[in-house]
Amino acid sequence: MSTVIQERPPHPSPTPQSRKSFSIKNIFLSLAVFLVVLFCLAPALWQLLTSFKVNEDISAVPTIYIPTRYTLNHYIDLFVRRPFWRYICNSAFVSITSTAFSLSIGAPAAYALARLRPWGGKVILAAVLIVTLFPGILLFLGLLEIIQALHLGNNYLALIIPYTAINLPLTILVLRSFFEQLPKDLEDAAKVDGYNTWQMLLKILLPMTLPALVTTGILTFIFAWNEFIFALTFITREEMKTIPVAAAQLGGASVFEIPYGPIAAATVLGTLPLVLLVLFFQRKIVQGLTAGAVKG
Amino acid sequence: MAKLELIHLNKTYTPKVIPVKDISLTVEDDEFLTLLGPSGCGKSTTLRLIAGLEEATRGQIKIGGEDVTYKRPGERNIAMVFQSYALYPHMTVYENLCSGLKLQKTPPEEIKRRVSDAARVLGLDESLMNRKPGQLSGGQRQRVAVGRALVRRPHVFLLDEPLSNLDALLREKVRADLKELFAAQQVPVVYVTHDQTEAMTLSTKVAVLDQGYVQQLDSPERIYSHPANLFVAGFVGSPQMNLLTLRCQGRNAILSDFRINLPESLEQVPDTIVLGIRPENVRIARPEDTQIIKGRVSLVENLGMHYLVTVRVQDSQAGSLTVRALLPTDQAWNREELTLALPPQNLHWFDVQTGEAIVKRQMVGSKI
Repeated sequence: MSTVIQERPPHPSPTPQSRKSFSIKNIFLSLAVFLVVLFCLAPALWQLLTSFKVNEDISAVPTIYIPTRYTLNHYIDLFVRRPFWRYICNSAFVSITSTAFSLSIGAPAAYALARLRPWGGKVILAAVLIVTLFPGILLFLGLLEIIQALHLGNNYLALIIPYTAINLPLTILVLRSFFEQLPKDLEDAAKVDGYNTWQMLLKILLPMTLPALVTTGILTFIFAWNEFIFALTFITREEMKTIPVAAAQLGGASVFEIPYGPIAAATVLGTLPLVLLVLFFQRKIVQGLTAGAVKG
Repeated sequence: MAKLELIHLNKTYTPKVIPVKDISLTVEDDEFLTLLGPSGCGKSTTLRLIAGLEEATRGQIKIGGEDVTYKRPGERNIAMVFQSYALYPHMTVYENLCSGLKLQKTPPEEIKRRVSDAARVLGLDESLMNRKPGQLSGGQRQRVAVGRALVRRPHVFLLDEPLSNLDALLREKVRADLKELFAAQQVPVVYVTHDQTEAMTLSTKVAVLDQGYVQQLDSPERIYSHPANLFVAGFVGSPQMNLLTLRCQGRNAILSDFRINLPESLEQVPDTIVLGIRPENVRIARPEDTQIIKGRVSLVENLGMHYLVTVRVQDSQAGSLTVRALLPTDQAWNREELTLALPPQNLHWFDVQTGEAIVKRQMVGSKI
């Protein structure tokens, strides 16, 4: 069979103009992203640089953005002149405890609301939602009265209990919606196998909700770690203070001197654990934990 | 070992939602009962009632003579295979298989023995034991789900449409495997499906359910050959049975110009009657056939081994009636006008009001 060879018109090659506009768009996009990131990270970056700057450079006019001289004195200052290690431990203790309480009370509550559907479940859910709307400052004065009446001043519980209570609504809401989207078949299979409700929650469901637990746990931890007003008012003893309070109360050699350097160093040290935490758990969040359990 | 009895089971959610109205049946030791029916007929709810995942509003459930109606699923000694397999995703295959046994505090050697027995029967390789369900194929997951039920050595097996998530080819193979498997177990099996082929091939007894009632409880052969009412007749059998509402005159039903003899067992001839005949029983008329109909061919569908031919028969009063026939591909026939024979032994008659089948007197010596 003879084939007719046809003259095909030459393919139009991509015009130089289209290629150029593609890369111009790309450049603009990258530039925009860079500017947004810079805008968001600028304060943090500033603090980081300040913590390493020499005092003269900090207060120099015109402002020096990127210093040429570096010093670790501010950091050393924190640990030598003030018990900063103590503050870190306090913050850690309060945050970890309130996170643990929040999760261990919130998870069963969320499960009950999602699956067990108790009487008045809708009312409870509405109440939880409404409570989230309260600004913390409104609760503050009332809490102060309660703390004084119960003589809980300068007690870690004065922080742990309010932090837990403030974080519970978020925990319950997030975990509840997570429980609701877990396949019901798994719970049926567990019931047929003979698990009772507690065993089912602990051994089957919680391992599957690990991503949600980690996310809410991190949010709770960050809130507790950064919280200032309650920590300032309820804890006055020096050795029990948390990092935000301690950093705010850093005083200089004289009343006229604001120790920008040590404050910056304290801020950096206070933020570092949070950053490390999020990075660490980001790797640990197991994606697609339920993939393969249920077909389709 | 253990007989399963359902006695007047009823499940009412609200006065308007009653998925199971009144179901009574018995499943003996080596019986394989299929609950067959369309969506919403109550078959899955019935299975869940047997399992204990739902609480019965009224009625009793007995396993091995013991009343388990108010017992929790774990206490009923049943095992269930779910449509979605429901394997625990964070546990390995081995842990999935023995989770139920561990809860019952079975000794580890016994667990190991049962797991390896089940693995051998199901063809689950040793290498799969340490994998998580997410790393298995659909067919493998299904086998693990069945294995999890097998190792429990329960009194009753419950299966909820376990084949519906498999592709057609795999479904056929697994169907055959399941039949062999459960025959060897000698324990009552209750199987839920909407697929007739599964019901007909796997079971020893079929319960056709509709609207929360059992429409017919019989062997697959009798369900097919002697449907008890219009619903069963129309539901079982693919392609669907021809169901024609005809006028009666004398001792005949009138289909356009043709007369069809009514059965002798019918004492009082009603005004109208429903005639049922399966497309596979309708054939091209031979010279000696007496009960014939003639009509125009309106549609021909090629099913591979047969043609599904739709024939329109003109009736002066009822307009046109359609009769479908399954004709073999190796026979020549007129593509325009067709004369079809309706063999009397394959005719089914149903009451127009109640839908109940009118029992024909069986001819002496005829095969059922």
